[in-house]
Amino acid sequence: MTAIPKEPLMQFAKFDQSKSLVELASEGCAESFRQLVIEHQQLVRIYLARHIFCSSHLEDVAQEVFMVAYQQLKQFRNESKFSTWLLGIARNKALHFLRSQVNLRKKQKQLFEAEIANRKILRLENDDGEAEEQQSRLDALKSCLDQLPAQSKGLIERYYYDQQSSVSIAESTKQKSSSVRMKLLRIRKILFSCIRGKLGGLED
Amino acid sequence: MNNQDNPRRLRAEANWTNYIDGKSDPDHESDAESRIGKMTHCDLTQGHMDDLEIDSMLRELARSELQEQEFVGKVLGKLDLPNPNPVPRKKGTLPVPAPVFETEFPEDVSQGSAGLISRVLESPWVSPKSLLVASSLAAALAITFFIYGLDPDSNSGHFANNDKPYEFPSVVDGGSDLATNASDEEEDNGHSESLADSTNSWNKHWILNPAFASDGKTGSMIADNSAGGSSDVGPGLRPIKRWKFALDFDKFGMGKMNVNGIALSGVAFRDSSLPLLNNLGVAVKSRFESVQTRLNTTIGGTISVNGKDFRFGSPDRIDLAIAKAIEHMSTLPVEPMTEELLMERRKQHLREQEFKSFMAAGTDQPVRPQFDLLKSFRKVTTSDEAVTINTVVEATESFLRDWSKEMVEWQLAAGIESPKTDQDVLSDADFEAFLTEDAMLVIKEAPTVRATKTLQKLNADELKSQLASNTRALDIFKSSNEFKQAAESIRKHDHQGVSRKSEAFSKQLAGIVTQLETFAKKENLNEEERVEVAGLETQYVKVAEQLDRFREKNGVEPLLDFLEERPELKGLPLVMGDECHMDAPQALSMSRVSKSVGATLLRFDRFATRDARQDDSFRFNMVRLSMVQQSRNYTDDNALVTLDQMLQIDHPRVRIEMVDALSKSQSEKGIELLARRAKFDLLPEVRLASTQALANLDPKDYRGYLLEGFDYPWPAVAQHSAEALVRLEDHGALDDLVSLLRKPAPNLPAKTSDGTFVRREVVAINHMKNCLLCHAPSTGMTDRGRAVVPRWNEPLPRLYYNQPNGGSFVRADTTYLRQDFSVMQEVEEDGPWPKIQRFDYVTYLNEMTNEEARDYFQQHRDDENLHRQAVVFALRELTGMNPPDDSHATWVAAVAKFKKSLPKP
Repeated sequence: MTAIPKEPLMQFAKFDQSKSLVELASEGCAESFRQLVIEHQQLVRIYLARHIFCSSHLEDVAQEVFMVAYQQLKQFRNESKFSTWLLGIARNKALHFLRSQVNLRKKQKQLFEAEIANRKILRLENDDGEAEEQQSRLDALKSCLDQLPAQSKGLIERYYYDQQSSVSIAESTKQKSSSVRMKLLRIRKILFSCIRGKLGGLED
Repeated sequence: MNNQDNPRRLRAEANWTNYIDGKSDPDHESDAESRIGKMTHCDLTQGHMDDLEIDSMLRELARSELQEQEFVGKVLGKLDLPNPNPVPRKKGTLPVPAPVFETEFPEDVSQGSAGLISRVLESPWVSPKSLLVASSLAAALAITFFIYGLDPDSNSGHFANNDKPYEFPSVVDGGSDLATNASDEEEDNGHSESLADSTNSWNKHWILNPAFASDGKTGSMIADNSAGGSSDVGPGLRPIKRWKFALDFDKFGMGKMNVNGIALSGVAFRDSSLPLLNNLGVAVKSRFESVQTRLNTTIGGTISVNGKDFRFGSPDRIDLAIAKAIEHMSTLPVEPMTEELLMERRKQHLREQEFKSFMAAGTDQPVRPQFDLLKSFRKVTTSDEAVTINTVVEATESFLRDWSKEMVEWQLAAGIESPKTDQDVLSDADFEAFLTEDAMLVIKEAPTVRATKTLQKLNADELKSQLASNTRALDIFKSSNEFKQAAESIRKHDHQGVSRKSEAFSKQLAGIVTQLETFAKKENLNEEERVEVAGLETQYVKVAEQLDRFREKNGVEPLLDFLEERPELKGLPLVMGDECHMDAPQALSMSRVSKSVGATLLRFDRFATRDARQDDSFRFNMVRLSMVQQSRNYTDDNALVTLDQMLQIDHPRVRIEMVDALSKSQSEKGIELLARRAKFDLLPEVRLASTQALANLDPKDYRGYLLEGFDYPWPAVAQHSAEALVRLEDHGALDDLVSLLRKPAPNLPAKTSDGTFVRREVVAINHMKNCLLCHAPSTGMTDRGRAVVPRWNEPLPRLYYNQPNGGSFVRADTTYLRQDFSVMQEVEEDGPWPKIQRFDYVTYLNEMTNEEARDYFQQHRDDENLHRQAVVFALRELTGMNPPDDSHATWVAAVAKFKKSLPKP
């Protein structure tokens, strides 16, 4: 649990400490909302990442999700989990974004991208329960990453965490960059299978 | 059983490894693989979607871990909610540290407050490149910098350098905005910066480093922080400090400024704020970048004009914030101000007399014109702007120093190691020096290993003294009487308009050549065209003969007359005829640039305070701005040549700035000039800057120019060339270097084809006393590059280019003699002229009799062959080999062996 810094504690003092973060945030406690963002940002972003591949767009949409959530906090009733409610907002935002992308891509004659966006829309529209399993998906991704062999894990860290290009990785490991890219592709395939296996109740 | 030892897991890992390495393993070639075998459009799309989806999820997983706080900050910022935990941005780039320069101008030695601006802007923290970037951006504004530390979950609660309680910024409120692209957000609400551009290196370390992520120490440390203050197990609160520099313009465009609420002694006019922010931005930016790189933290800030904020998340965004602030500034209404009112309001700030003279020189209008940044750059050099810059930079450094000390302590307590020293990070020694008051006096070595490979051990002063003792001076006039006679002769030429008539002939010839060229392009000429060509050829010969006769009769090239009387000058590498004349576009460009630069430097010297005059960056900026204002492209070849000619004797920083300008041209001429700086400049710092600029180019483009340096009579030039080749790691020069081993030293007598001996030597020519040696006299007001010939018994004119009348003149578009390099040196008898004067150095061909040559050989037989030593140095450094002897044959074999060891391209 991330500690709450000193200054916000003073803010907390104004509020009833027995209430949940959501309740406190809906009463205007900014720090509580901040905590909510911290706790749920990864979930929302990974959820959106399944549907929005452009990182800058994804970031924008993710921010919008939390902005909408903040504005509509008072409408949240404890009928479902906060994360489910949040992912519902995310789903709507993602749909809105993807529809705009379809139109845009078609105008730009980028039919392949438009097709991908279309399929994402179809999947989102037809799968109401996807948000429910998002936490499982995230856990599966982390678990599958953890199971990767050290070499593959190292490649993932260098490529995604250190944001090194395949060229620079290739230079330092004395491989061809195409070889690095191919390895990354294979790792992703494995991860895809692994996640699907875990979500389907299968062992790896 | 331990999961790590689980056979199933091990087998799975082995399978995956085989698969990833490309070795087929059917067990793990999932349907994703087999799907590729039957690719329909839909399948292909689906396959891509799978891969894209995982790729996107992985990227987002990494970002959500690395940039959690940043994201949170953005959300809170958009909602206008406070965020107590600003986060650092990615590691910045240390600007290439410019070395401390040797003093070339003793009259301008920095002292006291007057030297501050010079010290801070000459310091190794200021990047010439960033100066160029910042030069286009400026305003008078308020800047608020936030510096925030590393721990994303700690909070200081207090300013570190005073005891004021920490207050969340009311507008920005937290580092979320600051850590990202707050400037953009201010103007373009809703826009967010791509996460890919804002890697949080601290967070990355925090998460991936097992010491922080896996053993739970982080949690306890943060928990301790949250309790407030230091604890036995944690590092205490991360220091957070905020530095504020504020300015507000009144209705007349006068700005009051303060730093952290403390009013500055200077005042800035809105129309004089361009260089102020230019210099301030560069100085602050480079320092903050250096410190944030060193401490793995991030610095952001806010620039505001009259209360409107323009934020930036890191120093590399300051330019954008300034640009937006400038836009805003231009919208502020400013009333015209009479000079009386202006003076009245300025009394408390200004050195009045200086400003009055400044204003009087600046405009004939009693009422100040409306604000116009582009026309008013010259007003920046008044004393109060310099005071303002001094104060702000000084306050910034003090603030940064205090904060750095606290951050170092905190990091030590937290067990966080500073980044390893590399070329992007300040070394331990330099950082320690910065933490002391002497930080600005740190001598910073070049950051690359290559740059340390030096052969030439002499500094600029020692090289100057070597030049003075080993070269003789040549003057076209031996006395003032000779000069008077020559000046009278020129005056007569003026009345006769000889040059202009000569020019008319030349133009006529050029016209004929153009027509002939047109015909030459045709493959088959008809009869009529052949007749016409023949006519043109006849006409050409006729006009050329007329020109020759005219020149012979009138002595259009006065230098020829002097050479008749002064045979010792014949050894100079003079050029005559078409080679010495610029064509019209070249001359026009040269004239404009020289006029612009000359006038700017004059204004700078005339109106700048002592502080500002010592500010080399400032000085060069003025030059550049003046050219930009007049829409002169200072990267075209003609402008570059003129700049090089005028500025190569200027202050060291100006020369480094000039190198930067040269490097932008990418033209052949620009490369040649860069190479000349690399081999001829006496200052190692300028040579180094030139070499670094060359490093971005194809070695084939500059190699020849550097190799020529080994053939220069002065051995220091050969040494400089060797150093440059070594720094550039130009292995392509090895063959040429080996062949140089067989050549005799270029400063030894050599036998010519007619059996006589000549020896090449370097001679010095006093630039201001020998105008007529290098240039043709100017006979008309419209001559391009017209410059007054200084009188020996009168002080030097302030501006000797483009003086309208009153004396004798030369024209710079005709140049008989081009120096190899120029140096400012002291003279023994200065008379009314400055003690330090410009000397041009050229190679001189000294004819020797057989006896003289023999004597010379005998006297210098045992001299060290410094040229050969330079060649051997380059060979050893480039190959890393040290053969038993340095004979040509040995090195041929060694280089061949070395080449075999090189990886094949």
